[in-house]
Amino acid sequence: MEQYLEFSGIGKAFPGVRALDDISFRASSGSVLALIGENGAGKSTLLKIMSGDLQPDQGKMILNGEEVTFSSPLDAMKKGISVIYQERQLIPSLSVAENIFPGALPRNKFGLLDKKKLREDTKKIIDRFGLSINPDVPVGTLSVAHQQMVEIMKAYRRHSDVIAFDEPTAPLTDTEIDILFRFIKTLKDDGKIVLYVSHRLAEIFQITDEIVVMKDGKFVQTVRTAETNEQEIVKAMVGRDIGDTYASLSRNDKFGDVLLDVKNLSSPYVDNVSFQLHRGEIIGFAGLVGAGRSEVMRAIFGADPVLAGEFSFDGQPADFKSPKDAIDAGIALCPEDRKEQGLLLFRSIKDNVSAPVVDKLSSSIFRNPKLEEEIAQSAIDKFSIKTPNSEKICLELSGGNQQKVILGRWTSPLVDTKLLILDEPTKGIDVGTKQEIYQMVCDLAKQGYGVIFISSELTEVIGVSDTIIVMHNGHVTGRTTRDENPTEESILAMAMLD
Amino acid sequence: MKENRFEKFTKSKMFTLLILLVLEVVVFTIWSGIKQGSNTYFTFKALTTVINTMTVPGFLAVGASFLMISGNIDLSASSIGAFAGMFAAASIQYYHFTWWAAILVALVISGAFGFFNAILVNEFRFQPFIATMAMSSVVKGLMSFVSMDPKAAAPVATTITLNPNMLDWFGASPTDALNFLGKKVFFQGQVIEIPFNIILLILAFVIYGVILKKTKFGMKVYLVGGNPMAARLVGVNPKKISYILFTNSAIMGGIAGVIFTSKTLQGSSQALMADMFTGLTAAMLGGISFGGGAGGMGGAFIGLLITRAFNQGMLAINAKSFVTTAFSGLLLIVALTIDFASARSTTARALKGV
Ligand SMILES: Nc1ncnc2c1ncn2[C@@H]1O[C@H](COP(=O)(O)OP(=O)(O)OP(=O)(O)O)[C@@H](O)[C@H]1O
Ligand SMILES: [Mg+2]
Repeated sequence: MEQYLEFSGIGKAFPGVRALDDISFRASSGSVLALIGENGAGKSTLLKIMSGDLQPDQGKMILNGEEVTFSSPLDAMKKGISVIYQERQLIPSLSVAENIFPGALPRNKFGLLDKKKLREDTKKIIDRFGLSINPDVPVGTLSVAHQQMVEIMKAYRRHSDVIAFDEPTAPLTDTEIDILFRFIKTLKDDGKIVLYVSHRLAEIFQITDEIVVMKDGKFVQTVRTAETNEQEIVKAMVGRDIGDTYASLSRNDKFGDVLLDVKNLSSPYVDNVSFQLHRGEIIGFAGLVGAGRSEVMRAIFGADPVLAGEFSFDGQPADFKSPKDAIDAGIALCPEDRKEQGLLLFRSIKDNVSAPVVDKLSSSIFRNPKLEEEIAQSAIDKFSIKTPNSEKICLELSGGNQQKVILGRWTSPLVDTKLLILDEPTKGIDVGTKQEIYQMVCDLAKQGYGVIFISSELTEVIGVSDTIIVMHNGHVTGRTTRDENPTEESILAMAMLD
Repeated sequence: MKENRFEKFTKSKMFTLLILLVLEVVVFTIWSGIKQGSNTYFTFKALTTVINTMTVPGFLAVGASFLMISGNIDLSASSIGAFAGMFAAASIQYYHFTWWAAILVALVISGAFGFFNAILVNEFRFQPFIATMAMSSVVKGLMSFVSMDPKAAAPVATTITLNPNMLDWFGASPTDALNFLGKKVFFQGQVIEIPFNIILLILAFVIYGVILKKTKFGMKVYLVGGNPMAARLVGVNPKKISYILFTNSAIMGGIAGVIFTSKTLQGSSQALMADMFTGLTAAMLGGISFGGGAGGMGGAFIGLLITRAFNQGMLAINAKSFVTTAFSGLLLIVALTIDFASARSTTARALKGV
């Protein structure tokens, strides 16, 4: 018998926002259903309702003909629903096996933990997915991708009928994404109901069978993936045609003098990195996660110590002792991890946007609420951040909108920047806004800014950058320019060099 | 969905706290009425006591609040306070300092202890808990040196009793200075004199409240407490803030200690013993998060009132002292539970929120 999960008239409101409005559709077993929509469309909210984290205001969920309600995530899990979020929910100090079998650890006849059986059972699951992970190592020592696999195996072990993914590929590299997709395929073949949320359309066309489009909390349409194409989907999502993302960018073609000159830079995490960035130039940094790209930037920004080598900025030898020095000199860094290093989740949008310029906004010891409001409002407008007002705390924003707050923070007119470092700036951002961000980056270059653009999405690095630097294991392993027409393959090849 | 100011206020934490305070007063009034035959709680005399016992834990709460908002804690403030009180008494009694010089030096030394706390935490990377607990012990030891009477045969003293009128400017007794600053308020047909130190305390709460909410520094305190890593990346110097706040906490402790001495005309090694506890409870009851980044001075003030009203209530119902101690602990547990529960639900949301 075919199994299914049906949503019927689901509604959910937050103060000032109608996050979900009369959502109805059905997801069937043995197929992967994509859930797409702009930032703030309500995708994550729907998954949280599915996982028992939030209760719907209206509507019901029907699992295989029976209405289900979940009082908590644990309850939902017991009833066969697992949601895998971008942020891991594993216990880093426990082993892989212990994380996969929480609360269900096998006991021997003395009632003690049966380590041997635990290891064997775990090994079985790991083999089922064709991985080579040691069941005994602490989860915290695994790569982000493998941690995610552990979460999926945990859901699998629970015999969940429904497994949903919320933007799972954002922290993964291309090879890791392949592994994930194999995983998803395995789940599908095992007859699970799989829901998949992502802003990366290429992925959606690669692995899903059906697409549900949402807009402003409403259901727009369901289509079979095989019967549609990217343009149609984007149009349904954004409400307009966006054309060819990269070809339509209006670029800067005149570079100025050297803005940043890095010579043999070494920090605790990178070794002997050299490159030059001109005013008006966009340098893309490509490489696998962990290649050391962010670490180069942290060293330049004064966040990590420089062990050897030197760099000059804006014609001056630079020796930044702290990020403050770098900011004062005119460098802005949008960090990759928005929750750990970027946002103050419990503060308002206003506080978050004005944080780096709070000293500039007034000359006395007091803050300047009027200017703070003004720059917050301009960030909200510039990036169309979906929020009722600037007082909303960032925790309550959707993932993509949180990312926009960070971008807004560092591109506010009061930040006196010459060099903008963007570390994975489009993480979790919807297609329409992505294009606006690319154009914004090009516009900044035209105004004479130097831009460093780090991304794990190769198409994006290739599409936006004038120069591409490829890193692997803390070293620069290759560089190429736009004129050389780099391809994903050519860059990937450089990223694997030692 | 615009809501007016009143509606907004009724949904605020402040409102909940006020309700809690009122409830507490009502419960103790009735309880004491039942137990003692008549209301011994909601009286003029009790109010005077509440006010008179508020200042010392109050100043500790001010210092603790700021530190806690920035994500730190100082357990040594009360010992530093006791030291400062003892020092002030000794320097007046044995070395004939004038009162203001005695206070000034006591506060400078307090500040130095706080600065040292900051060094331990920032440079040697000790847990603030451990560092300040060790500091507390060191300070208590040093206190014995200070309290020695250079001319006496058995020099170590646990208390130094001062001649009246030596510290009267600060004191609670109606003197010239008090008549000048003490306001007269009518209550139940009687006159209550508000001592100068209470005015100082209220001033401190107002000033620190303004610093927190309106100044650049205050914003940075919140940023550091909310997410030190992110704060550093937007150009805030968490170390600098930590130095300032540890020093400040110790000075607040010093002020509390000096006020204790001026009120009791005594320097005592037992001074401020229970007050650290009260100060921290007050701050946490007022919504200042143990984890940092949240809360404000208004809440802390109401938290202070709640703890004082509670202690007074225990007196009014004639509770045995061990019962009072146990219930004070319970109050702290309640405060911590509120803090953890809200922190847990918010961090849980933060973890899952995508
Ligand atoms: N806890 C909350 N409190 C208040 N508003 C919230 C809360 N959670 C979500 N919202 C609001 O609900 C709306 C939908 O958010 P949701 O996270 O579901 O969007 P999303 O489709 O997942 O977006 P993204 O693609 O950016 O991740 C947003 O406007 C968001 O601000
Ligand atoms: Mg989302």
